[in-house]
Amino acid sequence: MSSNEGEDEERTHTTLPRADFIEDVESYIAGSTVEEAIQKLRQHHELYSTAQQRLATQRARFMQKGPEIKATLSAVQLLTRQREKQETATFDFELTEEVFAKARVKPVDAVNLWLGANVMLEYTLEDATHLLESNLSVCLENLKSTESSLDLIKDFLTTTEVNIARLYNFEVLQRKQKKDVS
Amino acid sequence: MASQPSSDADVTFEDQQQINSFSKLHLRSKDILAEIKVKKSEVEELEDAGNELILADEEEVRYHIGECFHHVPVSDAEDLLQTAKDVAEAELEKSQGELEQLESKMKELKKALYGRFGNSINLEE
Repeated sequence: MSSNEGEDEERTHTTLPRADFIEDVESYIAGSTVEEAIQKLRQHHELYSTAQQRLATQRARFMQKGPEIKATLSAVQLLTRQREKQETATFDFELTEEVFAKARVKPVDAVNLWLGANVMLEYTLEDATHLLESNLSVCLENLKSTESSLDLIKDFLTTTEVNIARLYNFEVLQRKQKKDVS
Repeated sequence: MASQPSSDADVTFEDQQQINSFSKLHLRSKDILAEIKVKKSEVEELEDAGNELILADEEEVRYHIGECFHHVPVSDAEDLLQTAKDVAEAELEKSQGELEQLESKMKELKKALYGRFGNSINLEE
């Protein structure tokens, strides 16, 4: 609300209608009926709800991805420690679901990272650590920006809810006044 | 959030901003409560694992790293567990601190908003 339009669009990544505070209900309604105005705000509210759900899904994805990257990183760190000590390590690894086999791993200089899209690439341990760390920080960054978008949407939702309530109250008041006059 | 018609308490821009803040804090506090629950059980599990390790008769245990189980001497496993527990506990403490801050801010806002609108406003728990 305090930020300008361009910034808001950047934060929500869409062109949602803005939810502005209504300074004066009477002049806001001018030209249409209260019902029409409420109807319009209800439509906006729905748009915001949809956007909120979309962003919440995104947020959940980033929140899940972080620990996954951390787990991969810890495996690479283990290999790095092992190389320093020049030890052969023994692992139980999952051959297939519920079936584990034993493997001896000699100190290595490189690992293969699964990059997605059917691509696996070999990295030195240093490069792999670096890549995973930067992936992790990108993921956290994305999480933060999604949360900031969610905050903005929440503001829109709350403002719209209050606006609807105020319009409704205005209508009730108007009717009462009319009744008092007649 | 709906209020009853009251002509003497119209919503000002500041009120609206306070309501918005409250509603965001409320949402965030629900999220963080869930996070705290997850982290608490993580700390407990690590603690349990540590206790089991003390009782363990073996010289070597399997420690879960990535998607594998690493065969490590008990003393190494203890170190790894301790580090993991320290991290988890630090995260838990951070979340709990954040929750406290959120709650005190919410309390302030509640006082201000109930003061302005009385029974016309309902700030749900």
